[in-house]
Amino acid sequence: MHEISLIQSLLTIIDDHAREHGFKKVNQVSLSCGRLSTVEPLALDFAFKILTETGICAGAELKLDILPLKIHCFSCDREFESKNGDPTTCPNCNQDQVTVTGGWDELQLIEMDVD
Amino acid sequence: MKINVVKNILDANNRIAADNRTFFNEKKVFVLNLMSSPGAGKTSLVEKTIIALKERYSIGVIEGDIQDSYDAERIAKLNIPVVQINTGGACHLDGNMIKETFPNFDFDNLDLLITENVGNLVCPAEFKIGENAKIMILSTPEGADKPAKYPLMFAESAVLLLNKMDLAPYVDFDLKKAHHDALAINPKLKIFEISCKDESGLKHWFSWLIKEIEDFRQDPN
Ligand SMILES: Nc1nc2c(ncn2[C@@H]2O[C@H](COP(=O)(O)OP(=O)(O)O)[C@@H](O)[C@H]2O)c(=O)[nH]1
Ligand SMILES: [Mg+2]
Ligand SMILES: [Zn+2]
Repeated sequence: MHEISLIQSLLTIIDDHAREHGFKKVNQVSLSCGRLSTVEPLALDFAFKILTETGICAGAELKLDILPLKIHCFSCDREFESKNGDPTTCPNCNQDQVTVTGGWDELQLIEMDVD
Repeated sequence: MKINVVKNILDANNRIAADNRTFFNEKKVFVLNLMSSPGAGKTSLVEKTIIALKERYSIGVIEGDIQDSYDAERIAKLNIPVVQINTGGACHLDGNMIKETFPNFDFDNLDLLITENVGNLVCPAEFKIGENAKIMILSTPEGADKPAKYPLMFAESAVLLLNKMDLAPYVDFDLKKAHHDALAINPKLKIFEISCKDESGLKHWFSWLIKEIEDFRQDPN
């Protein structure tokens, strides 16, 4: 729901990098977000499109990698990937002695392809 | 040419929030970020909290909820400085919106700043504003499946207030499940069962808040 402000923050970060590293054009931007972050991929794409009609990212492609939810279960004593996105139960034994180890609300710019 | 960056996209907001926090520490102002879905009882809780604590502390309020200035007027009736933020339809408050309200408050004479976030269980959880504590309200008619469906806000909060306990018997609220799932997501979460209508349980919330404010004033860092 706040994809516009996320893209605005992203573009600020990209502009800072462009100034620092002296590139003039961005071809591709790769992001990653946790499964439980509240980012809506389609809305993110749309926000990126309308906010990059001009500027250094004009025409650039946005890639979003969604990191799976990872849960460590203390009963099973190992880590699992949760397919259903429920952070409160172990996908293996269904018990609740678990802690989330990845795929939470991380939202990161990972890499860019630039000229 | 590929370049590796690895940078948190919310960094800019996190920085502003951290600056706000530094400022509040200097001024010894304790800040609450109150979050819930629309109608769970945020404004009611703000009113009850003001009435209970206004002899003890000097209180200010920021209203971020979108319903025009209706909530701000409810608070202003209690003779408390209140600023309505016009989020322009935004789904959350962010660090910069809070910073822009600063000229409206006399922080040298303020102890507690309560911000009522936009009614939304999703977005406010991701944006820090410089608060000491995030407080979340879940009201019984919303159902006990909310922790599992919206885990992030439960994970980020210091306190969960289960409000409208007076209605629990009529809406078949599964109290055990609510406690269980919320604690599974966030074992440190403090949970209080309250009703802003019959005022049950509120005294536990007030005691928690007073203790936090006193600890903070001893050692703002
Ligand atoms: N029965 C009952 N109603 C409540 C309680 N707390 C708030 N309400 C009512 O719920 C409605 C929404 O409350 P409000 O404080 O405006 O919620 P907000 O949108 O989160 O700020 C109002 O009509 C309140 O009177 C409660 O504990 N019990
Ligand atoms: Mg309200
Ligand atoms: Zn298990």
